[in-house]
Amino acid sequence: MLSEPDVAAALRNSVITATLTMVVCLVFGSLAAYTLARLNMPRKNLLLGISVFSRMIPSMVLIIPMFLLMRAASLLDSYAALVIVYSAFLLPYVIWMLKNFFEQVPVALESAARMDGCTRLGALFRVMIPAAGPGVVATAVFAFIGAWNEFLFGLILTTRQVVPITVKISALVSSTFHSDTSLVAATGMLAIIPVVVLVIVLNRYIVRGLVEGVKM
Amino acid sequence: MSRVELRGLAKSFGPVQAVKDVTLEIPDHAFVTLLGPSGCGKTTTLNMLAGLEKVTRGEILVDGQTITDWAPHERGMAMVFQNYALYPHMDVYGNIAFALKLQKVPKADIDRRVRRVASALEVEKLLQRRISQLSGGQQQRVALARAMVKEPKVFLFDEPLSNLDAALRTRMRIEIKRLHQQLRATSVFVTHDQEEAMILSDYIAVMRDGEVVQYGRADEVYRKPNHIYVGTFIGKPRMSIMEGRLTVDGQTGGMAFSADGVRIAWAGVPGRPAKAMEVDVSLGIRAEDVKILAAGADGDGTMTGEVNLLEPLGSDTYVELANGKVSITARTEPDRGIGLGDKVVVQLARPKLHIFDGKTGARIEP
Repeated sequence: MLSEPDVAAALRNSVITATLTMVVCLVFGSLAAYTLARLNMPRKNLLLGISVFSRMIPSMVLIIPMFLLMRAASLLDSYAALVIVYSAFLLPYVIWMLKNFFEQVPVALESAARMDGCTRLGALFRVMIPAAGPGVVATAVFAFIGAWNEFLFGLILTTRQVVPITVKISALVSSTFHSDTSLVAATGMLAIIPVVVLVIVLNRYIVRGLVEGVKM
Repeated sequence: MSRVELRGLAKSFGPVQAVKDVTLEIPDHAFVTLLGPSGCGKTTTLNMLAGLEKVTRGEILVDGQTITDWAPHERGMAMVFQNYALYPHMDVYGNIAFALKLQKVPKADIDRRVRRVASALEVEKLLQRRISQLSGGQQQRVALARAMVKEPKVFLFDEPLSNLDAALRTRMRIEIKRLHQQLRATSVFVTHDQEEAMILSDYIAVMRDGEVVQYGRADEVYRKPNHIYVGTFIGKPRMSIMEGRLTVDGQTGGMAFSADGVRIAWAGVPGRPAKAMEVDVSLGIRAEDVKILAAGADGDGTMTGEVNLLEPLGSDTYVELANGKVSITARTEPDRGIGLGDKVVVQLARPKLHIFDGKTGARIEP
């Protein structure tokens, strides 16, 4: 099955897209979450509200404008298109999750880092994120799985180069005369493996992150 | 080792004024405590001094140089926090070395300095441990080590002992005092515990509602509180306060206090005239200044009361006695044989009285 070049490529595409999405979500999400959790800023709650508001619009409604946008930017069938769209949809969740984890890190910890010579940004990366480690890992896994599972935008925004595994599986169903059910089922299993492995490996952090939050 | 000055320091959070106007001069080598109940602005003042909180108004000077807008790490200060604030993802060594690493001190120097400080605070055996494996007392020592390793000009302490149990608190208190005597670094300590303040400090600033009510040498703040708030906040047991009317005879210097049918009179000191007055006052006296006399005794500044509470501490016994609405606590030796309900005569020596204005609470010297 893996000798089928399309399936292997689709798997690779999904890994790259999901990983990039996770990184983008973590970088921007942690900056936004830190601001919302720590800095004195007017209209904080309004901003938080707006960030979830984007999730209230059904993706179906956004598909065509998104397609047109990506075409105009000549980004169709590229990793950038998928990563941008996935990040846009996942960031609200990531921000909310990280904000809650950051709020559990004692302010004094950050003050200590600043007294020791960190800037605010330095304190975020050297102290806050490591201290909120399990929470950050849980959020990262969440973002990765979110991107991995996505189907709709993957279907519309890709044609050949960066088709993700989710889209590939469905293509196996419809593109053949008689669907090779065993091939579809096997590919489906294959698509689950990376996520399962990820969760097993990081299980300890995910559970801690979700159950306890930040433990001092 | 530095002289620190706060000039008219103020801090507002939106409409809330946390610190209104704090002016303090902290001499070189001094151990100064900001003392007050929670919400009085003491921690905010310390955070402004540390650079963690922006100053709304006012100036901070160290050795005559204005540092109001400097970043926290540029000020040459180190802080010990209430919850220790040790980095949970590093081991003890990493915690102590963190600031030096950021300063890009050569590795060998870092190692030498970390080990020296660790051995001074008896944590050298713990260097490879994770923070979560340490007890409260050990965490406190590591927090002290992390502050000391920077060799700061000024040490800041934000209620560092409030999380420890009573026995450990007493021990760490002594340790901090010893440390200060060795290093002689200027230190600013924040606490709501007046006993801690008295034991540790050279100077105490008593704060209330974002303002300093009194700032002076610790013994002076204790012996000569300038406000009823200071008098009752410092000292254990709490200073006894009697509300009533005070009359001072300008010619003889004689003085009389009356409240609720209780009358206490003091003769004037010959050759020392007094200002004639008749005012509503709060008359304060500390338990150790109340002398219990033999029954039936009479004399200058005496009153009779009935014992309604005994607090034996072993070394001393505190006797609370009442006459009508007037209530006074006296300290006495434990073997005086005083029982509940006894009528006793107490003497309040005139020089030991603290007279506060009945309305403003400010100290009055007749």
